[in-house]
Amino acid sequence: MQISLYRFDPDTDESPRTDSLELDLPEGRDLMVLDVLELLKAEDPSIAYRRSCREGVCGSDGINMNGRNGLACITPVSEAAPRGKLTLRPLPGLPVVRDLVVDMSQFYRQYEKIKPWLVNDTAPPARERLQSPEDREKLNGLYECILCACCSTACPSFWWNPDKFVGPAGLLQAYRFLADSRDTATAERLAALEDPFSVFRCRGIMNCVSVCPKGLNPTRAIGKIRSMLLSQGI
Amino acid sequence: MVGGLYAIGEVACVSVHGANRLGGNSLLDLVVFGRAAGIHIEEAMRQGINRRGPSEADVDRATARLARWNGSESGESVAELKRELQRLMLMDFNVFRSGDNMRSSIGELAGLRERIAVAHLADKSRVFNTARLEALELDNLLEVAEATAIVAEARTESRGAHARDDYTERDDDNWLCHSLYFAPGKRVGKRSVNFAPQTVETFKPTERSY
Repeated sequence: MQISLYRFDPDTDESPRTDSLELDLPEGRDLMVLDVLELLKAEDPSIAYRRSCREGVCGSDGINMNGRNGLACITPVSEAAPRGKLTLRPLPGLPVVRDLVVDMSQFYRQYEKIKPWLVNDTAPPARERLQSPEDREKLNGLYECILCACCSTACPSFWWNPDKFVGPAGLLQAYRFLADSRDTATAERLAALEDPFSVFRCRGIMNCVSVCPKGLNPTRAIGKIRSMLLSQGI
Repeated sequence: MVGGLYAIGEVACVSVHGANRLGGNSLLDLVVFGRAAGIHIEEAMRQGINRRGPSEADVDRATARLARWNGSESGESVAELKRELQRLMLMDFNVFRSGDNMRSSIGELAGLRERIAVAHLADKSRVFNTARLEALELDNLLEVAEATAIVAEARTESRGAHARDDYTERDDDNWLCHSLYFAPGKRVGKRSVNFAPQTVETFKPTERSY
Protein backbone atom coordinates (compact mmCIF):
# COMPACT_ATOMS: atom_id res chain seq x y z
CA MET A 1 0.00 0.00 0.00
CA GLN A 2 1.10 3.53 -0.76
CA ILE A 3 1.18 5.87 2.18
CA SER A 4 1.87 9.54 2.27
CA LEU A 5 2.87 10.68 5.75
CA TYR A 6 3.28 14.19 7.14
CA ARG A 7 6.59 14.53 8.97
CA PHE A 8 7.96 17.39 11.03
CA ASP A 9 10.52 17.53 13.81
CA PRO A 10 11.00 21.13 14.98
CA ASP A 11 14.53 20.34 16.17
CA THR A 12 15.87 19.32 12.79
CA ASP A 13 13.37 20.44 10.13
CA GLU A 14 12.93 23.94 8.75
CA SER A 15 9.50 23.07 7.44
CA PRO A 16 7.23 20.02 7.26
CA ARG A 17 7.63 17.43 4.52
CA THR A 18 5.57 14.58 3.16
CA ASP A 19 7.15 11.12 3.03
CA SER A 20 5.99 8.61 0.43
CA LEU A 21 6.12 5.15 1.96
CA GLU A 22 5.36 1.66 0.74
CA LEU A 23 3.99 -0.94 3.16
CA ASP A 24 3.07 -4.59 2.64
CA LEU A 25 -0.23 -5.19 4.40
CA PRO A 26 -1.27 -8.67 5.53
CA GLU A 27 -3.72 -10.17 3.05
CA GLY A 28 -7.32 -10.98 3.80
CA ARG A 29 -7.55 -8.59 6.74
CA ASP A 30 -8.76 -5.03 6.91
CA LEU A 31 -6.45 -3.24 9.32
CA MET A 32 -7.29 -0.08 11.19
CA VAL A 33 -5.26 2.99 10.30
CA LEU A 34 -3.60 2.82 13.74
CA ASP A 35 -2.33 -0.69 12.89
CA VAL A 36 -0.72 0.80 9.79
CA LEU A 37 0.94 3.48 11.90
CA GLU A 38 2.23 0.84 14.32
CA LEU A 39 3.67 -1.17 11.42
CA LEU A 40 5.36 1.96 10.09
CA LYS A 41 6.69 2.84 13.53
CA ALA A 42 8.18 -0.64 13.98
CA GLU A 43 10.29 0.15 10.89
CA ASP A 44 10.95 3.80 11.76
CA PRO A 45 10.57 4.47 15.50
CA SER A 46 10.93 8.21 14.97
CA ILE A 47 7.35 8.53 13.63
CA ALA A 48 5.39 10.34 16.36
CA TYR A 49 1.67 10.10 17.08
CA ARG A 50 -0.51 9.83 20.16
CA ARG A 51 -2.38 6.62 20.92
CA SER A 52 -3.52 4.81 24.00
CA CYS A 53 -6.61 2.60 24.23
CA ARG A 54 -6.70 1.52 20.55
CA GLU A 55 -10.50 1.12 20.71
CA GLY A 56 -12.04 4.55 20.22
CA VAL A 57 -12.48 5.35 23.91
CA CYS A 58 -9.56 7.55 24.92
CA GLY A 59 -9.63 9.98 21.98
CA SER A 60 -5.83 10.27 21.66
CA ASP A 61 -5.33 9.33 18.02
CA GLY A 62 -7.46 11.89 16.22
CA ILE A 63 -5.71 12.51 12.89
CA ASN A 64 -6.58 13.54 9.36
CA MET A 65 -6.91 10.56 7.01
CA ASN A 66 -7.29 11.29 3.31
CA GLY A 67 -8.67 14.70 4.16
CA ARG A 68 -11.10 13.56 6.81
CA ASN A 69 -10.65 13.77 10.59
CA GLY A 70 -11.22 10.65 12.65
CA LEU A 71 -9.74 8.25 15.16
CA ALA A 72 -7.03 6.12 13.56
CA CYS A 73 -7.82 3.16 15.83
CA ILE A 74 -11.42 2.70 14.68
CA THR A 75 -11.10 3.76 11.06
CA PRO A 76 -10.58 0.79 8.72
CA VAL A 77 -7.98 1.31 6.01
CA SER A 78 -10.58 0.34 3.40
CA GLU A 79 -12.78 3.20 4.56
CA ALA A 80 -10.03 5.81 4.88
CA ALA A 81 -8.40 4.93 1.56
CA PRO A 82 -10.96 3.29 -0.72
CA ARG A 83 -8.74 3.97 -3.75
CA GLY A 84 -5.70 2.40 -2.13
CA LYS A 85 -3.56 5.40 -1.23
CA LEU A 86 -3.51 6.49 2.39
CA THR A 87 -2.65 10.08 3.26
CA LEU A 88 -2.00 10.78 6.93
CA ARG A 89 -1.76 14.27 8.29
CA PRO A 90 -2.14 15.93 11.71
CA LEU A 91 -5.51 17.44 12.70
CA PRO A 92 -5.81 20.72 10.77
CA GLY A 93 -5.84 24.13 12.41
CA LEU A 94 -3.78 23.41 15.51
CA PRO A 95 -0.01 24.00 15.77
CA VAL A 96 2.02 20.84 15.02
CA VAL A 97 4.33 19.70 17.80
CA ARG A 98 5.84 16.88 15.77
CA ASP A 99 4.62 14.64 12.92
CA LEU A 100 0.97 13.76 13.73
CA VAL A 101 1.05 15.30 17.20
CA VAL A 102 -0.69 18.66 17.55
CA ASP A 103 -0.68 21.15 20.39
CA MET A 104 -4.14 20.86 21.96
CA SER A 105 -3.82 23.90 24.28
CA GLN A 106 -6.13 26.13 22.25
CA PHE A 107 -8.75 23.37 22.16
CA TYR A 108 -8.54 22.77 25.91
CA ARG A 109 -8.69 26.50 26.65
CA GLN A 110 -12.04 26.68 24.88
CA TYR A 111 -13.24 23.62 26.77
CA GLU A 112 -12.19 25.13 30.08
CA LYS A 113 -14.00 28.37 29.23
CA ILE A 114 -17.41 26.72 29.34
CA LYS A 115 -16.80 25.48 32.92
CA PRO A 116 -17.19 21.76 32.22
CA TRP A 117 -18.30 20.81 35.70
CA LEU A 118 -21.56 20.75 37.58
CA VAL A 119 -22.35 24.01 39.37
CA ASN A 120 -24.95 23.82 42.09
CA ASP A 121 -24.97 26.31 44.95
CA THR A 122 -27.69 24.61 46.99
CA ALA A 123 -26.61 22.46 49.93
CA PRO A 124 -25.88 18.88 48.84
CA PRO A 125 -28.35 16.27 50.07
CA ALA A 126 -27.18 13.49 52.38
CA ARG A 127 -26.54 10.95 49.64
CA GLU A 128 -26.54 12.39 46.13
CA ARG A 129 -28.33 14.83 43.83
CA LEU A 130 -31.08 12.85 42.17
CA GLN A 131 -32.34 13.22 38.64
CA SER A 132 -35.46 11.79 37.00
CA PRO A 133 -34.95 9.30 34.16
CA GLU A 134 -36.49 11.89 31.80
CA ASP A 135 -33.99 14.56 32.86
CA ARG A 136 -31.14 12.08 32.63
CA GLU A 137 -32.29 11.22 29.11
CA LYS A 138 -31.58 14.83 28.07
CA LEU A 139 -27.84 14.25 28.57
CA ASN A 140 -27.68 11.40 26.07
CA GLY A 141 -25.76 12.38 22.96
CA LEU A 142 -23.88 15.00 24.96
CA TYR A 143 -21.91 13.35 27.75
CA GLU A 144 -20.31 10.74 25.43
CA CYS A 145 -17.81 13.23 23.97
CA ILE A 146 -14.21 12.03 24.40
CA LEU A 147 -12.56 15.35 23.48
CA CYS A 148 -10.61 13.95 20.54
CA ALA A 149 -10.87 17.34 18.77
CA CYS A 150 -11.84 15.81 15.42
CA CYS A 151 -14.88 18.13 15.22
CA SER A 152 -13.36 21.44 16.26
CA THR A 153 -10.38 20.94 13.94
CA ALA A 154 -12.75 20.19 11.04
CA CYS A 155 -14.52 23.52 11.57
CA PRO A 156 -13.50 26.55 9.45
CA SER A 157 -14.94 28.91 12.06
CA PHE A 158 -12.64 27.35 14.64
CA TRP A 159 -9.64 27.59 12.27
CA TRP A 160 -10.41 31.26 11.81
CA ASN A 161 -11.11 32.21 15.44
CA PRO A 162 -9.67 29.48 17.65
CA ASP A 163 -9.28 31.98 20.48
CA LYS A 164 -12.81 33.41 20.39
CA PHE A 165 -15.13 30.77 18.93
CA VAL A 166 -15.68 28.01 21.49
CA GLY A 167 -15.97 25.42 18.73
CA PRO A 168 -18.25 22.40 18.40
CA ALA A 169 -16.59 20.24 21.10
CA GLY A 170 -16.71 22.99 23.71
CA LEU A 171 -20.27 24.00 22.79
CA LEU A 172 -21.52 20.41 22.95
CA GLN A 173 -20.24 20.33 26.54
CA ALA A 174 -21.62 23.81 27.25
CA TYR A 175 -25.05 22.47 26.33
CA ARG A 176 -24.46 19.28 28.32
CA PHE A 177 -24.38 21.44 31.49
CA LEU A 178 -27.11 23.84 30.34
CA ALA A 179 -29.35 20.80 29.87
CA ASP A 180 -28.51 19.23 33.23
CA SER A 181 -31.41 19.49 35.72
CA ARG A 182 -28.93 19.47 38.59
CA ASP A 183 -26.99 22.53 37.37
CA THR A 184 -28.06 25.92 38.76
CA ALA A 185 -25.71 28.19 36.78
CA THR A 186 -27.78 28.32 33.57
CA ALA A 187 -28.06 32.14 33.52
CA GLU A 188 -24.31 32.66 34.11
CA ARG A 189 -23.45 30.02 31.52
CA LEU A 190 -25.64 31.71 28.90
CA ALA A 191 -24.31 35.16 29.77
CA ALA A 192 -20.77 33.92 29.12
CA LEU A 193 -21.80 32.77 25.62
CA GLU A 194 -23.85 35.68 24.29
CA ASP A 195 -21.01 37.64 22.61
CA PRO A 196 -20.81 37.61 18.78
CA PHE A 197 -18.05 34.96 18.70
CA SER A 198 -18.46 32.21 21.33
CA VAL A 199 -21.56 30.61 19.79
CA PHE A 200 -22.62 32.77 16.87
CA ARG A 201 -19.56 32.08 14.69
CA CYS A 202 -21.12 28.68 14.00
CA ARG A 203 -22.47 28.75 10.43
CA GLY A 204 -24.14 25.39 10.73
CA ILE A 205 -22.15 23.65 8.00
CA MET A 206 -22.12 20.42 10.06
CA ASN A 207 -18.53 19.35 9.39
CA CYS A 208 -18.46 18.51 13.11
CA VAL A 209 -21.37 16.13 12.75
CA SER A 210 -19.95 14.38 9.73
CA VAL A 211 -16.57 13.61 11.36
CA CYS A 212 -17.56 12.85 14.99
CA PRO A 213 -16.26 9.32 15.70
CA LYS A 214 -18.84 8.89 18.46
CA GLY A 215 -21.78 9.83 16.23
CA LEU A 216 -22.65 12.97 18.22
CA ASN A 217 -24.31 16.11 16.89
CA PRO A 218 -22.68 19.36 18.07
CA THR A 219 -24.67 21.42 15.51
CA ARG A 220 -27.92 20.41 17.16
CA ALA A 221 -26.55 21.33 20.60
CA ILE A 222 -25.42 24.71 19.25
CA GLY A 223 -28.94 25.26 17.89
CA LYS A 224 -30.37 24.55 21.34
CA ILE A 225 -27.96 27.02 22.93
CA ARG A 226 -29.01 29.64 20.37
CA SER A 227 -32.67 29.06 21.20
CA MET A 228 -31.93 29.42 24.90
CA LEU A 229 -30.01 32.65 24.26
CA LEU A 230 -32.82 34.02 22.09
CA SER A 231 -35.66 33.18 24.43
CA GLN A 232 -33.66 34.68 27.26
CA GLY A 233 -33.12 37.88 25.26
CA ILE A 234 -36.78 38.42 24.48
CA MET B 1 4.52 2.57 52.37
CA VAL B 2 5.84 5.68 50.71
CA GLY B 3 4.36 8.78 52.34
CA GLY B 4 2.70 11.06 49.77
CA LEU B 5 2.65 8.46 46.99
CA TYR B 6 -0.90 7.54 45.98
CA ALA B 7 -2.10 4.92 43.54
CA ILE B 8 -5.68 4.44 42.39
CA GLY B 9 -7.36 2.01 40.07
CA GLU B 10 -6.04 -1.41 39.26
CA VAL B 11 -2.44 -0.35 39.67
CA ALA B 12 -3.18 -0.02 43.40
CA CYS B 13 -4.16 -3.69 43.41
CA VAL B 14 -6.87 -3.57 46.04
CA SER B 15 -8.13 -6.75 44.39
CA VAL B 16 -11.79 -6.14 45.20
CA HIS B 17 -12.80 -8.71 42.60
CA GLY B 18 -10.36 -11.36 43.70
CA ALA B 19 -9.53 -13.81 40.93
CA ASN B 20 -12.39 -12.51 38.79
CA ARG B 21 -11.24 -9.90 36.31
CA LEU B 22 -13.94 -9.34 33.71
CA GLY B 23 -14.38 -6.30 31.51
CA GLY B 24 -15.69 -3.38 33.53
CA ASN B 25 -14.19 -4.56 36.82
CA SER B 26 -11.74 -1.69 36.70
CA LEU B 27 -14.58 0.78 37.30
CA LEU B 28 -15.14 -0.21 40.92
CA ASP B 29 -11.46 0.22 41.66
CA LEU B 30 -11.41 3.59 39.92
CA VAL B 31 -14.62 5.09 41.20
CA VAL B 32 -14.73 3.85 44.79
CA PHE B 33 -11.04 4.04 45.61
CA GLY B 34 -10.45 7.08 43.42
CA ARG B 35 -12.98 8.97 45.51
CA ALA B 36 -11.62 7.56 48.77
CA ALA B 37 -8.06 8.50 47.78
CA GLY B 38 -9.21 11.99 46.72
CA ILE B 39 -10.90 12.60 50.06
CA HIS B 40 -7.86 11.28 51.89
CA ILE B 41 -5.46 13.43 49.87
CA GLU B 42 -7.49 16.57 50.58
CA GLU B 43 -7.40 15.83 54.28
CA ALA B 44 -3.72 14.99 54.22
CA MET B 45 -2.88 18.19 52.34
CA ARG B 46 -4.78 20.27 54.88
CA GLN B 47 -2.95 18.65 57.77
CA GLY B 48 0.40 18.92 56.03
CA ILE B 49 1.37 15.87 54.06
CA ASN B 50 4.17 13.62 55.21
CA ARG B 51 5.96 13.34 51.93
CA ARG B 52 9.16 11.44 51.31
CA GLY B 53 11.28 13.00 48.59
CA PRO B 54 13.53 10.97 46.29
CA SER B 55 16.93 9.99 47.60
CA GLU B 56 20.07 10.63 45.59
CA ALA B 57 20.25 6.91 44.86
CA ASP B 58 16.69 6.96 43.43
CA VAL B 59 17.60 9.82 41.10
CA ASP B 60 20.86 8.16 40.07
CA ARG B 61 19.04 4.96 39.26
CA ALA B 62 16.41 6.74 37.16
CA THR B 63 18.94 8.84 35.24
CA ALA B 64 21.19 5.82 34.70
CA ARG B 65 18.27 4.01 33.08
CA LEU B 66 17.58 6.97 30.81
CA ALA B 67 21.29 7.38 30.02
CA ARG B 68 21.54 3.69 29.11
CA TRP B 69 18.89 4.06 26.40
CA ASN B 70 20.21 7.43 25.22
CA GLY B 71 23.74 6.05 24.94
CA SER B 72 22.77 2.89 23.04
CA GLU B 73 24.41 2.70 19.62
CA SER B 74 23.28 -0.62 18.24
CA GLY B 75 21.32 -3.70 19.17
CA GLU B 76 17.87 -5.17 18.79
CA SER B 77 14.95 -2.78 18.32
CA VAL B 78 12.36 -2.02 20.96
CA ALA B 79 9.53 -3.06 18.62
CA GLU B 80 11.12 -6.50 18.01
CA LEU B 81 11.65 -7.22 21.70
CA LYS B 82 8.19 -6.01 22.62
CA ARG B 83 6.68 -8.34 20.03
CA GLU B 84 8.60 -11.23 21.56
CA LEU B 85 7.48 -10.33 25.08
CA GLN B 86 3.88 -10.16 23.88
CA ARG B 87 4.19 -13.54 22.19
CA LEU B 88 5.57 -15.21 25.33
CA MET B 89 2.91 -13.76 27.61
CA LEU B 90 0.10 -14.56 25.20
CA MET B 91 1.21 -18.14 24.66
CA ASP B 92 2.07 -19.25 28.17
CA PHE B 93 0.39 -16.85 30.60
CA ASN B 94 -3.03 -16.65 29.06
CA VAL B 95 -6.07 -18.02 30.92
CA PHE B 96 -5.12 -21.66 30.28
CA ARG B 97 -1.68 -22.39 31.70
CA SER B 98 0.60 -25.34 32.33
CA GLY B 99 3.52 -25.59 34.74
CA ASP B 100 6.01 -26.86 32.15
CA ASN B 101 5.24 -24.09 29.66
CA MET B 102 5.29 -21.44 32.36
CA ARG B 103 8.66 -22.61 33.70
CA SER B 104 10.24 -22.63 30.27
CA SER B 105 8.84 -19.18 29.51
CA ILE B 106 10.11 -17.80 32.81
CA GLY B 107 13.56 -18.88 31.61
CA GLU B 108 12.96 -17.10 28.32
CA LEU B 109 11.87 -13.96 30.16
CA ALA B 110 15.21 -13.93 31.98
CA GLY B 111 16.91 -14.16 28.60
CA LEU B 112 14.74 -11.34 27.30
CA ARG B 113 15.84 -9.19 30.24
CA GLU B 114 19.45 -9.54 29.15
CA ARG B 115 18.58 -8.63 25.57
CA ILE B 116 16.49 -5.61 26.60
CA ALA B 117 19.40 -4.41 28.76
CA VAL B 118 21.50 -4.00 25.58
CA ALA B 119 18.71 -3.06 23.14
CA HIS B 120 18.86 -0.05 20.86
CA LEU B 121 16.92 3.21 20.99
CA ALA B 122 17.10 4.44 17.39
CA ASP B 123 15.48 7.84 17.88
CA LYS B 124 17.19 10.11 20.37
CA SER B 125 15.46 13.36 19.41
CA ARG B 126 14.16 15.68 22.09
CA VAL B 127 10.69 16.79 20.97
CA PHE B 128 7.74 14.47 21.69
CA ASN B 129 9.91 11.36 21.40
CA THR B 130 7.48 8.45 21.66
CA ALA B 131 10.23 5.96 20.76
CA ARG B 132 12.04 6.75 24.00
CA LEU B 133 8.76 6.48 25.87
CA GLU B 134 8.17 3.03 24.40
CA ALA B 135 11.70 1.95 25.31
CA LEU B 136 11.16 2.94 28.94
CA GLU B 137 7.76 1.26 28.83
CA LEU B 138 9.42 -1.93 27.61
CA ASP B 139 11.55 -1.97 30.77
CA ASN B 140 8.37 -1.61 32.81
CA LEU B 141 6.48 -4.21 30.80
CA LEU B 142 9.23 -6.73 31.44
CA GLU B 143 9.01 -6.14 35.20
CA VAL B 144 5.25 -6.62 35.20
CA ALA B 145 5.46 -9.62 32.88
CA GLU B 146 8.02 -11.32 35.07
CA ALA B 147 6.00 -10.63 38.22
CA THR B 148 2.89 -12.08 36.54
CA ALA B 149 4.78 -15.12 35.30
CA ILE B 150 6.59 -16.01 38.51
CA VAL B 151 3.52 -15.54 40.68
CA ALA B 152 1.37 -17.58 38.26
CA GLU B 153 3.82 -20.45 38.26
CA ALA B 154 3.98 -20.44 42.05
CA ARG B 155 0.21 -20.64 42.47
CA THR B 156 -0.33 -24.41 42.30
CA GLU B 157 -4.11 -24.40 41.85
CA SER B 158 -6.74 -23.22 39.36
CA ARG B 159 -8.80 -20.17 40.23
CA GLY B 160 -10.77 -17.73 38.11
CA ALA B 161 -8.82 -16.72 35.04
CA HIS B 162 -5.84 -18.83 36.17
CA ALA B 163 -6.67 -22.30 34.84
CA ARG B 164 -3.77 -24.75 35.14
CA ASP B 165 -3.88 -28.13 33.47
CA ASP B 166 -1.47 -29.58 36.06
CA TYR B 167 -3.48 -28.27 39.03
CA THR B 168 -7.06 -28.27 37.87
CA GLU B 169 -8.79 -27.83 41.25
CA ARG B 170 -9.24 -24.78 43.40
CA ASP B 171 -7.25 -25.10 46.64
CA ASP B 172 -8.68 -22.89 49.38
CA ASP B 173 -6.50 -24.49 52.07
CA ASN B 174 -3.33 -23.12 50.56
CA TRP B 175 -4.29 -20.40 48.15
CA LEU B 176 -7.17 -18.37 49.55
CA CYS B 177 -4.82 -15.40 49.54
CA HIS B 178 -3.38 -12.61 47.43
CA SER B 179 -0.07 -13.29 45.74
CA LEU B 180 2.66 -10.80 46.48
CA TYR B 181 5.77 -10.36 44.39
CA PHE B 182 9.04 -8.89 45.59
CA ALA B 183 11.20 -7.91 42.64
CA PRO B 184 14.51 -8.02 44.57
CA GLY B 185 15.24 -11.75 44.69
CA LYS B 186 12.08 -12.44 42.60
CA ARG B 187 10.38 -13.74 45.72
CA VAL B 188 6.71 -14.73 46.00
CA GLY B 189 4.74 -14.05 49.15
CA LYS B 190 1.15 -14.36 50.32
CA ARG B 191 -1.18 -11.93 51.95
CA SER B 192 -4.45 -13.02 53.51
CA VAL B 193 -7.72 -11.83 52.01
CA ASN B 194 -9.71 -9.44 54.17
CA PHE B 195 -12.91 -11.26 55.03
CA ALA B 196 -14.15 -8.77 57.60
CA PRO B 197 -16.66 -6.53 55.84
CA GLN B 198 -18.15 -3.84 58.03
CA THR B 199 -21.75 -3.84 56.90
CA VAL B 200 -22.46 -7.03 54.95
CA GLU B 201 -22.88 -10.34 56.67
CA THR B 202 -19.86 -12.47 55.87
CA PHE B 203 -20.44 -15.47 53.65
CA LYS B 204 -18.16 -18.45 53.55
CA PRO B 205 -16.11 -18.63 50.34
CA THR B 206 -16.96 -21.73 48.36
CA GLU B 207 -16.16 -23.11 44.95
CA ARG B 208 -18.50 -21.97 42.25
CA SER B 209 -20.66 -24.67 40.70
CA TYR B 210 -23.17 -24.47 37.90
